[in-house]
Amino acid sequence: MTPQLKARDVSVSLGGATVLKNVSFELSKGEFLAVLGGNGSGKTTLLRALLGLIPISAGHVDIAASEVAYMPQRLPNIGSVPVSVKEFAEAGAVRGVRAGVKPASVQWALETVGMWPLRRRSVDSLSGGQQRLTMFARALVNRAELLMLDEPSAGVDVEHQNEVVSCLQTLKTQNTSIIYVTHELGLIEPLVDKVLVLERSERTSVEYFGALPLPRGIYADVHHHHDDAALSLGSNLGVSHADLSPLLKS
Amino acid sequence: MELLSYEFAQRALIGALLIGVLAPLVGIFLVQRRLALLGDGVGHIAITGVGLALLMSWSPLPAALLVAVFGALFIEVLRDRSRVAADVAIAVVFYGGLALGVLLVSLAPGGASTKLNTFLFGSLSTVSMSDLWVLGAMTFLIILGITFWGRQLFVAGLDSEVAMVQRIPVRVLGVVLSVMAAATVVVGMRVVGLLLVSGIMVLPVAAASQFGRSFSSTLGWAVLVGVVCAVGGLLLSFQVDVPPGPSIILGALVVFILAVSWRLVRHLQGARA
Repeated sequence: MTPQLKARDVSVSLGGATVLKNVSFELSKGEFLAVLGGNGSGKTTLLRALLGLIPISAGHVDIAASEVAYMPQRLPNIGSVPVSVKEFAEAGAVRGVRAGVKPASVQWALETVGMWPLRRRSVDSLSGGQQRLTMFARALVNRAELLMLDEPSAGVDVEHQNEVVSCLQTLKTQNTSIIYVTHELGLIEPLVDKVLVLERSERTSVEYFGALPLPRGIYADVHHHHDDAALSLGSNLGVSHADLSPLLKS
Repeated sequence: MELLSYEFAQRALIGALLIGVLAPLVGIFLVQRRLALLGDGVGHIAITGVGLALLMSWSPLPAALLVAVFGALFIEVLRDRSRVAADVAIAVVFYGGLALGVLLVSLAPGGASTKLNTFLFGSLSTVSMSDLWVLGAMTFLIILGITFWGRQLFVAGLDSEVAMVQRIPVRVLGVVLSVMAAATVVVGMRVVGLLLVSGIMVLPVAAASQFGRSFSSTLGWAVLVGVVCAVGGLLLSFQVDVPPGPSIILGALVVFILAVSWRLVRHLQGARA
């Protein structure tokens, strides 16, 4: 079966510096790929390179999916003219020079993320989490075959995170392929088929590509560093290791 | 009003109506993209077109339109393809256009300076029927363009990267908007003048943004404000015998100040509650 997306030895240079080196992976129909990595490892750069938003300096990207939807990491600069939640979501339905927008799809997308009651509010009046949900709704509207999401749950409360996860679960069963950039798996772990862990390296940016669980030492070191920091902070605040244990990742 | 029984006043009224509708329609897409001063830059380079026309004894309107379109495209290319920021690109065209235009006028036969003033500050009362036909045709074409491409322009202005992923021709739309802006500036040239035309493109949008909650409602309010200010400013100028161009722009400024004040009052009331 032809993969929905195939990346072979993709490298990206920005401002003279190599940001990504020799990234290779495949994504089949209906698969869920989580992209993990520390700050500056190139997760967002990878997504933008796959979408052709920035040029790749080497390698190939083949996307078989006819419809791709993208949710960036940051809200666009809305500027001085207000935009309503409904208009923002509708923007996801506009393709090429076709202007058709199916109202039912927009309603479905906004209802899925719990933003339909706020559809007439202006986007800049929303909280950060609500803005993320609206951006997610925009990506859902056209029911694309391939979804590329950059930290969709950042700043979103647990209740709405569950709604996002539930939506992604449904889309997976409908054969939507999903690339999900995140710092940690959290609630999406049960959906993940493959993990791509990126790191800054001279040889290759790929620390690991494959199924869960992550092999020992891969990305787990990041969790241990978090734990060390948490223990150190706890010690300074007079909180015991025993009290902190349930919160530690290792 | 007795004055409106005169043909020149009727033509002036039609000219004001045209720019009142057109300028905010195009201006809202410029403001959305933080290109509020593009109209200024294009207006100033259009002075080069007028200067060239006065020097060569050509008709000013086509010359101004040609140079304005070139200037708008130059700004778009500089902004998109080079490291030059949008405001700097506009400034380059702004100062270059003004300097070259004034130079050309200085080389033109006598009386050119007076004629230049009518383009700098508008001369609504001297708009001819043929001027109106040309302005009307350009207005119609621009409105047609916005009817067809308005949604894509909105999406591209909102988030250019997502628009590219959705295969919206972002760069082409940038060029289309630049051409529309240039044409709007030339339409406004006879009404409010090249130095003030950006005001009628931006101020109604700025005022409407204070009470609109969506792009479409802001657009509707902006056109209403544009028409009211253009027609109101013209009628006021007839009453008190002042130039119509500045009257129209000052009217739009008053509406903007009232709108901002209203929003501030509402905000304070909300804070107290």
